[in-house]
Amino acid sequence: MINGIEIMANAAIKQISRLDCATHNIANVNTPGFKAERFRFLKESAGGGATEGSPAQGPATMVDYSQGMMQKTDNLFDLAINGKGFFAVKTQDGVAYTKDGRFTLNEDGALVTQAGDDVLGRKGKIIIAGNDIQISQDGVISVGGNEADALKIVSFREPSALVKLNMGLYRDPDNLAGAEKEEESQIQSGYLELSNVQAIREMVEMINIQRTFESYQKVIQTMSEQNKMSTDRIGKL
Amino acid sequence: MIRALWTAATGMEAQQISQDVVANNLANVNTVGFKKARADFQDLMYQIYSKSGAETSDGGQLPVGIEIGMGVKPVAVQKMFAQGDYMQTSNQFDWAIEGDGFFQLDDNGRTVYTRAGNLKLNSDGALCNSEGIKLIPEVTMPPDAVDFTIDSGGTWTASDATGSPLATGRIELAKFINPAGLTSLGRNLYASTEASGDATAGNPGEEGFGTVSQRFLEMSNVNVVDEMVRMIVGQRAYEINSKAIQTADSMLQMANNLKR
Repeated sequence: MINGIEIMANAAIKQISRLDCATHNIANVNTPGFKAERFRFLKESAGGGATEGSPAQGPATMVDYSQGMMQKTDNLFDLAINGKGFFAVKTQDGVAYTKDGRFTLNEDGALVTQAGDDVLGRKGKIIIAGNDIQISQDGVISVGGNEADALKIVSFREPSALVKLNMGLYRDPDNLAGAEKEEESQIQSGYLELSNVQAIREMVEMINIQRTFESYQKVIQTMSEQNKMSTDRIGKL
Repeated sequence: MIRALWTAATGMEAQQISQDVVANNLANVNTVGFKKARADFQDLMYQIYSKSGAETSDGGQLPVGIEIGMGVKPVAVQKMFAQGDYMQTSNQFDWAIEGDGFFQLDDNGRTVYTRAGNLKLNSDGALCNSEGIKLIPEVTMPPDAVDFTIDSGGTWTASDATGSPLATGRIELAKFINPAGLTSLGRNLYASTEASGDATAGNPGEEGFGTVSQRFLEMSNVNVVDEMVRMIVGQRAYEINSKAIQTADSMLQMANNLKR
């Protein structure tokens, strides 16, 4: 009996993690380039593989890389990627990838993210000097009609192997994701890719979590009633 | 306690900042030379419970790990230097810049920058902004001049009643590599920072500098419809974050009710 209560309590704790995950999505409902996290329950089947559906076993979070909506901003250095590509960024800890294209120029005329990290082009950072700057759909940056540099756009064979950092960045620490040059994605200058969090989905998720939690609570209460009854009756014997 | 409570609180805080920025934009919808701002957010760090690729108890590998994020944080309030609309006036000292560049003003020895070209004469005949801060390079109207013209290249001429020129000169504009890095001083003024880089001065109409239009003013670049939409989005996002807090709260209550 006690064992049953413990199993239920563990399941309830996992619902709390599930709520944390949904809340993080909700907190980022207006963060451009943000990709929603999905909390999944996986069951170790007899064969050792993981299947979905069983409650409260081996949960995992997966990133939903589906496309977010585009918002027009008319800001030249607001870049959105239409497709599965990522921008490559040089951070202090090495190369990272991002979908968040809110870039600006810094005091040296280099294209940087909002954290001040260099956005990578063909050979390292992208220096833009001059007037009449245009960024084409294939990521070529031209200044005054002459090609100056091109954005490095990368896609992954196994995006699920990417590790999500803060500030909209992703990293591939053990080279498991299989980075390759992306050519199908389109770059749109003057647009931002919005968060792909869907408010309705997260609301339903929250209702689901709350009700699941509630039923676990009821089961625990019932079990402890039963415990009480059995101890009471044994006591009377 | 449940982390979701704090995560949702970061979400509400971020939406509040967004609303503050929208409110300031809307308050300045009719301010000459005003440039709108936008609050920018990024996701906070992730707590890793189990790494993807970690070994399970029976020797297998976890295909995906558990990473749970901690919410959102504001990173920047970015100014958008998109061109504002032009308004025609009949005042010869109303100038608008068409294209890149800022007017330079001398604020007690410090050079400050503005897009607001609603200039006035002070008692000495020098051109200044509404607060009396003089233009750089100085433009002085001779006492008996009645007419003042400035061409698109910034060359100005002050002439008397018969049309003969009494004084001429040329104004300069300033440009920045990264105008978004300028700091707002309020009063329509900006100052340079390390992020914006130093100002490059130049003649209007040359080397990428904008041209000057006399008897025009550049209005605020705030678009009311955009701001209204941003306000609605912000309000709804605030609301759903509060729902997340309510959910976490009622779950905590249920947990507390386990023991009767």
